[in-house]
Amino acid sequence: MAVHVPRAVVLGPQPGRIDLGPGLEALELPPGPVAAITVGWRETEPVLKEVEQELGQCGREAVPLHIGERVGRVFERDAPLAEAHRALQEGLLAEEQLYGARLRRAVETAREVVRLSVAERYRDPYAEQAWQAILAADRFHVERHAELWQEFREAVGLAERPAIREQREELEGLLAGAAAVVLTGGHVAVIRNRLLLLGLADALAPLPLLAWSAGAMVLTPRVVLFHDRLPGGAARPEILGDGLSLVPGIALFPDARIRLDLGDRQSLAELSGRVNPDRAVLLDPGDLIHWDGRAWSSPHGVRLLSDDGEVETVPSFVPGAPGAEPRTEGAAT
Amino acid sequence: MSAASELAIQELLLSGPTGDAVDAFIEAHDFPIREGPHTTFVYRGEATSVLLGHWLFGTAAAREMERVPGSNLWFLTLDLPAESRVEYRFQRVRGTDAEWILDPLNERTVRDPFGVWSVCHGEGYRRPEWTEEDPQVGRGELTVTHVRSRAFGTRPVSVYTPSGFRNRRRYPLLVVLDGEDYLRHAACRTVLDNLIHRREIPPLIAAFVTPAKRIREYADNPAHAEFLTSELVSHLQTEFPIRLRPDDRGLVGAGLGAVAALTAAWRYPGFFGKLLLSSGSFTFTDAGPSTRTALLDPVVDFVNAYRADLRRVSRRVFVSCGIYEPLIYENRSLVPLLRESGMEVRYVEAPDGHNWENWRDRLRVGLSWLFPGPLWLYYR
Repeated sequence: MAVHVPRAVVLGPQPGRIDLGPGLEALELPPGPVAAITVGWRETEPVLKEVEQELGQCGREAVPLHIGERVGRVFERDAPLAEAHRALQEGLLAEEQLYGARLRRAVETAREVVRLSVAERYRDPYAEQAWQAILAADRFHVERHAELWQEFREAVGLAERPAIREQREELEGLLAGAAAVVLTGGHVAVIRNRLLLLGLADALAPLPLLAWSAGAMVLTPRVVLFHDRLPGGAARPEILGDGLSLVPGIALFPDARIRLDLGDRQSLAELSGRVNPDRAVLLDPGDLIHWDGRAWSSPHGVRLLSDDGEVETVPSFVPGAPGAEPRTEGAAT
Repeated sequence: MSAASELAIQELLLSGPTGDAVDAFIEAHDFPIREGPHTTFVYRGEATSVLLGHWLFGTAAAREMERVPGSNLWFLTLDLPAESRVEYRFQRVRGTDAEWILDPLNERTVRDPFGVWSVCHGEGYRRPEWTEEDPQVGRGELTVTHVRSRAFGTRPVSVYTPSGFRNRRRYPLLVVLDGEDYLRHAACRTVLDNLIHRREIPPLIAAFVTPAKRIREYADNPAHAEFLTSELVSHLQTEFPIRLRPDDRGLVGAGLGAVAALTAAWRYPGFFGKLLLSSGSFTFTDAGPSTRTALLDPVVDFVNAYRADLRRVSRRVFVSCGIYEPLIYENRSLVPLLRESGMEVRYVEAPDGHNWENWRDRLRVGLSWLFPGPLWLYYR
């Protein structure tokens, strides 16, 4: 059973200057420093300084967790672990390629079935079969991905390795004194990988979280990679793997207006169906959604993808419960 | 969009132009004049005749321009598709003297290995911003290494390492034929800097290789294929941290360079996992001898052999060609065969000619398809 954080705020992408004020305000935090995880941009990049400055302006001391540097120290100290981790990455890469090949065929088949000019009564059973093939590819990949991680953990005795324990104990100490945690955007696979390696989900669970983009995606039950406007052509959405499930009921799609073709209803409907029972939440700069331990809400409404690929805006919704009455924006939003 | 009768040059003709009217016409316009799909080329000067020389396949390579009666103004209107880019010169004939000159009314020029050309940008064409230097973007380094070859002696090769290069990482390798031309005329270093910075391609190492005797080396020469696959790559692997999988190895060529790339892949199937072939000179014959120069006979023989015996020589192949170049026929013919041989193929046609800026402008879509960067893993 996943343990969810008591409160969380997910912000829209932060393309210019990072703005944490509204998010911190919405979290209603007690006094205290805020821990910062910036590993998505590598800690040498200026994002850490920007987060520190922004927290300072909000009257908060920043506690950088330096996750990237810590993982570097772990690998320096524990060469066999570094080697096993490298082998894990190779395995995960192979798994992604195999999943990608299977998924490509499944999606192509589903599209072809829908395009055929045949009566619905003949087509629908095949369309359902094709759809189930997509879901099966996703499901199997998520399982295989988790199995590879589990095999790695067990093979190296990850939790008990001194280099890992030392870092985790230090981090747990830092987190115990924090009023909240900020996770920035960046490379979603790196953030997820480092947090899984250090086993930080349990230490994060009691704390309010303020996160955006990649940092927020890893907190959800499932991380979906997507980009319809890559210069080399649209990338078919793929599941990276399970997230940390520290926040429930959502799959996040940051920079939706830039990265998604919001006019392609079929693709959006597929996306919505593939993250079911979680809701696909679209985020753009300036957005803010709030988790209060029971429901997601936003003063400007939460933008969700409906089952038929429309963008609908609801004031709030409770994960797993029938949704609030949607306001349809239209798919071309 | 203007109807042809509403073109600026037609208005001038209807006005019964005087010298003052021609002066005003020249003053009032940028040249060539773009009006919707119509492009009017204009030359002013004394001449017996003036021709527009260009590389628009399917139309005469030199088109006679029309004189505005009673003036020294010459014009020719062509319909060019949106986003076209045309390189051209005027041939000015004075009596028995004929001279190729740049368009004096157009400051936009381009230099390639064959000289300087005037350039006409059709409606909607903009030089892509990712081909221009950006001070915010870290620059990769170019160093020169010397590669020993049994057939070609010691050859200097320019090697690009990306900004932030670290020796303990391993990088994909891109081998670029006609390397110095790609650097000089296709802004390849800047393009790599920008695409890596945007995460559209991964940080990679690129080796820019330049031939000494281009036709001899590139026209299906087994020694050149051996040089690329054995001597060059082996040497680079000893000096640079290069990934060893074929999928992390790409070969780029344009024109005859594309032939050299495909022939190397043919002779060493699977060695290069990615090929980028721009405007390849894939000349072939369905029957009888080729009408092309005999120097290209090995190319014809190779392409004929390839067409008769399809092989999967790489995993992914990006092919591009300009619609204004005669090679469009050969390239269109090749693409289904590449696909049939079991390779993933992406084919792009551009409203451009057989020139370096065409090949430059296709680098983004080609490289990012062959070597997808981590962009889709980044969420800001």
